[in-house]
Amino acid sequence: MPHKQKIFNGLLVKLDKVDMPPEYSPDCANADTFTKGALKNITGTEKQHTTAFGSAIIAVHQLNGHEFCLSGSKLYKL
Amino acid sequence: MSTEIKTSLNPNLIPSITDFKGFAFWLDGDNIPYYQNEYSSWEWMHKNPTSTPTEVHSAGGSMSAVNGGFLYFYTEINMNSGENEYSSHETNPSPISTITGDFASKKVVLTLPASAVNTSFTHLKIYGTEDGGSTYYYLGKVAIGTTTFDDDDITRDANVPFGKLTTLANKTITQTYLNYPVKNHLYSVATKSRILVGGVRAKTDGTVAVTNGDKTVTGTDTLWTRAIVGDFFVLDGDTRPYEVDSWTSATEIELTEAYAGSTASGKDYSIEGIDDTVRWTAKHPSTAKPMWWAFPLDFYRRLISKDSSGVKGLNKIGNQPVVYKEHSHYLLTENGDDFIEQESNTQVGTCSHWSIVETGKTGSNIFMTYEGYFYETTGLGAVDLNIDLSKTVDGINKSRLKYVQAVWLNSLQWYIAIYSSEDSTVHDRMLIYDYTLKEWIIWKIKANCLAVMETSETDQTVFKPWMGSTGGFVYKMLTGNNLGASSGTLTGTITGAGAAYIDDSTATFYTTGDGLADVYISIFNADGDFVEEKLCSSNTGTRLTVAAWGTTPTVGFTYEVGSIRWYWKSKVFDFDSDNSKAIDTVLINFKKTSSASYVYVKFYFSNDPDMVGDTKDQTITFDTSQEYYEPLGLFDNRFRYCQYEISGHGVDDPIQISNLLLELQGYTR
Repeated sequence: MPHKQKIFNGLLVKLDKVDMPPEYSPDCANADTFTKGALKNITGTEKQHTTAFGSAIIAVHQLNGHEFCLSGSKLYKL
Repeated sequence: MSTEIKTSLNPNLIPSITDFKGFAFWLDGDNIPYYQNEYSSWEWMHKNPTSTPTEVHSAGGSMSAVNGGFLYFYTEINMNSGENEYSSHETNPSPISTITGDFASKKVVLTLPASAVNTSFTHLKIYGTEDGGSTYYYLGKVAIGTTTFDDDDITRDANVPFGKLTTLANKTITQTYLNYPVKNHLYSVATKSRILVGGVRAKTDGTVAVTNGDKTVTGTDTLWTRAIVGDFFVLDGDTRPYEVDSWTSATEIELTEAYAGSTASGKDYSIEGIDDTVRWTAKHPSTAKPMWWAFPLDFYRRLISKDSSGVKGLNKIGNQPVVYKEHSHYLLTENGDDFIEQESNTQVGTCSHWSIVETGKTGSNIFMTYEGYFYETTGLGAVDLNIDLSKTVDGINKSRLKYVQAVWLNSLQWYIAIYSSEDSTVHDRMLIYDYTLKEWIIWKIKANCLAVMETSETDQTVFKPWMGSTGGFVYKMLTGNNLGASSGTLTGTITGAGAAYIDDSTATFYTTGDGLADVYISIFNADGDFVEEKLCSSNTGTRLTVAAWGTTPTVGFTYEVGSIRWYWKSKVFDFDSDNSKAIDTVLINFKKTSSASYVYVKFYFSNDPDMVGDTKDQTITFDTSQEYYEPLGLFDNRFRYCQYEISGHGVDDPIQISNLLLELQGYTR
């Protein structure tokens, strides 16, 4: 007999993985199930700038249409 | 090209950032609170002027005194922070001038300091009394550097007193100063007309030396700023708190009282403010305009309840602030210049101020609780959103809950939180909650911080999350199907390898600026299975260098730059009896791609419902550039429990699967 998986929903940890509805997943990563039940891979990222700041980025912020980042001991306007 | 807006901060402290009236206000419980716009920054925690204005009335003029004369003081203002002198950042007064007695038909000339004590403040505002009076009215302003001010008009404008005037029952008038600076708090939130602050950080870096009978505390590696003035110093092993009276340097402070304990050095310590208090800014007494720089001394509320913890977070719902402690939260309602709190009937608080978001028009906050669960609250009652990350495969590092950050992406109605998986000491997971669908997804992306940005794409305004990395880069999210470069070689075959590099002699890797630094390089074996991944530290056009591979990659293996490895596992299907059921065929329905991309359907069969220790039994591969008219067959299999996993990897290959069809020899119960 056929089993058809028509809808792919996201992560469910409230129920045991044997007892959960078949459209949910007990474990998934880097997947997107937010489009009409379809299963997609996620879209990636793009560097905003080409040269690294000297320290980890602690905060990113936007104000008055300008972007800022806090890196180490300095606040920069990007 | 970036511009430094603020420098010399004590580094690596997560700030609370609040936008208000065109400025961003920054607090981190350690550095001196400041505000900034796109041009500059200023200390929000202003200092009061210390010079005393002096008065002479020797020249002829229109002023006369018969009741003892006039008194004056000045304040410092930053005219770059508001529309005019009534809406700009202003300090409390300088010392008052010395009264000089009666005179007739003279002009009063004040001598003022040539510089301000608050860096980059622009003007001095001069206030004076009536003859013999004690109420101060605004007279005029001068630019910093102008050292004289002429008072030659005896009339005083009753509409512009300094601070707030209150007429008492006996008809006397009191004048209350309002412009007390913000204290050294940790969190902030803004309503339409006020900024609220709360929470404190215990400052413990370095060690100290104290001397019995001496007010001076000397630090080693202490990084103190004047923001700690007014906080309380406690030496390790001593229970008595001492208020910090003044700050001398990063390694020296003065207490209000001499230290009464034993002389000691190299000791641990704590400096901390009052942690259960929220304070808020004033509105102008006559215009009701926000005075975001003014925290009057009586504008505060201590949130005292059976939850004895301090304030752990602030946010708002509409125009009502919400205050979070560890095991409780409170909805505040503005009442004149006061706020009235109502405690939520759901006894949950937060582990992280930065996990709290306002959900726009839905009128709620979503936040992570102190125990690490996600709740949504109206301020008066909260509900569990049913996601326990400790039950996910990779778990959550609960020692890092205080660093959890989240944003609300209103355009998609997404709550996005970054957290650390169980064994990680950095945030390496991103939790996405679709508020409309009530669904959760986890993305394996390392992000040190998050923000939502308004940007323009193809002439449309869009809102996208941005993130910052520990590697010193800012990334735009949801912009494409790659975690690395937007140009250059992204995949290929390894032609040479060492302990810390791989070569591809045919590649043209992206080399602009720092090239592919901070991008993951993933290695796959001859079967296409993942081997390992490392962050690229540097690269040339043909060589990718990492800190060190676990195993020197094999020539002939393939690599991906910015690889996205994704998977979705099914539930565990139970076919009732052991070794009696089988799956014959499988077919997926997918969106056809123009170039070869592979989707793997992996089957796990077991007689154990936990599927413990089971490796994949069979893998069926679909090439999404091909067309399939018949399902693909599996080898013979017998089992009771079955689980399948749909997966793939790539750098820029959008994959969309709409359904999966299995032919079972048996039935699901």
